[in-house]
Amino acid sequence: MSNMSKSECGSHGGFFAASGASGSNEGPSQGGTAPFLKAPRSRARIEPIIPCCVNQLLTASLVDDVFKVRGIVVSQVSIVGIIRKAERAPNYILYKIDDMTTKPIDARHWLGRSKAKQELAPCPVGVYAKVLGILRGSAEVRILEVLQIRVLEDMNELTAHILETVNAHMMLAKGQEEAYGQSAPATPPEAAQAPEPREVRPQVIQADVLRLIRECPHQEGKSVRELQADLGSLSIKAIKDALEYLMVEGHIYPTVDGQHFKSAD
Amino acid sequence: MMVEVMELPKSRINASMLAQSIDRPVCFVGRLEKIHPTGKMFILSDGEGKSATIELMEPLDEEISGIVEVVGRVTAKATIMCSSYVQFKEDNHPFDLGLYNEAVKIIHEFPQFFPLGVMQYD
Repeated sequence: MSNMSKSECGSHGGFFAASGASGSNEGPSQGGTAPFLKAPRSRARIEPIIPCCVNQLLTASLVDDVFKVRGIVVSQVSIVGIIRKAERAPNYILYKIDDMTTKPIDARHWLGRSKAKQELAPCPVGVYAKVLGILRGSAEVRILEVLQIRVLEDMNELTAHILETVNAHMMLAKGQEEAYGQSAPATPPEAAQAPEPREVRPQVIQADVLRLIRECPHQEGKSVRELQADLGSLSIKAIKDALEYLMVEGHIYPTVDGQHFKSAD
Repeated sequence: MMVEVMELPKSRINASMLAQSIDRPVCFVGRLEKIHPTGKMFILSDGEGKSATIELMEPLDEEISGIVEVVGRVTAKATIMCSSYVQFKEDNHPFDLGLYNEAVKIIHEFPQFFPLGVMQYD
């Protein structure tokens, strides 16, 4: 196998998020939470990169065009695996990445029009690489759209990725559980609620919930109960769905007991 | 079948887990301790210092050293019949095998957050 330098195969200093704006370069893996990508456009949007294993990506549920792993939205993800195959086509390079958790996943790296990109050599087969990408596909077929692929120079990044994946999914699951686990007993079953919950688009509910959280002056933040009182005609499920969305998107975070939320913006 | 192992989910294990993994496809990372003169067998030690015996269908056709990751199936004798291997390069950074061992234990302790695929039987 030839000794290709990092810059020759598939990776560049920056990379482009789906929005078309440039993001920061991801350095060697640290422990702890997943790094955040910030797109510099007029409406700031924080999209987390969730470290995953391939099996999570291939078994993620798909509802309304949104992939979820154990209820957690996964869009921009990172994986670490061995490149089993690298096929060069005129406009893209198609990789198969194997991280041992299941069969290899297809990862397609679209090449731009610039001559430099056209001449890009594929990453070598049989080595470990870290891939940042966006999960795409259907219920049956999944593909990772590559934002950045980089051969690992330090194999400790493999270990770090495994630990980061468990940590990230555990923390995200804990966040959900704390928010929703204990609040059920006090609220009456939805069928018995007097007014019919109004059918409102999720984006409107999310905006209302976020506004109320931001407006709340309390140190400990806005509680789920207060939101229910303020948004009387909405079902508890609609409010909880909105809270989950806002948490995953990074706009709010749970405070004292997971029943109170503050704005992260 | 050796070829199938590539497509199957492979559990990352250390030597202590060999006995419970008989007949399963696994992935084992360890430091090379010894190569048998025939070249058809070598010994790897894991992050806890325990050893695993790796068997090959064909003798090694290259020098191997340092940290090796083996993919294969565990035999009834609790050895691993290797279908492929990769050497971890340590030119710039030594590989922390102890930390990797901790990660393996964590995968087994929290399989819900790092799930292993289900084997498909045709």
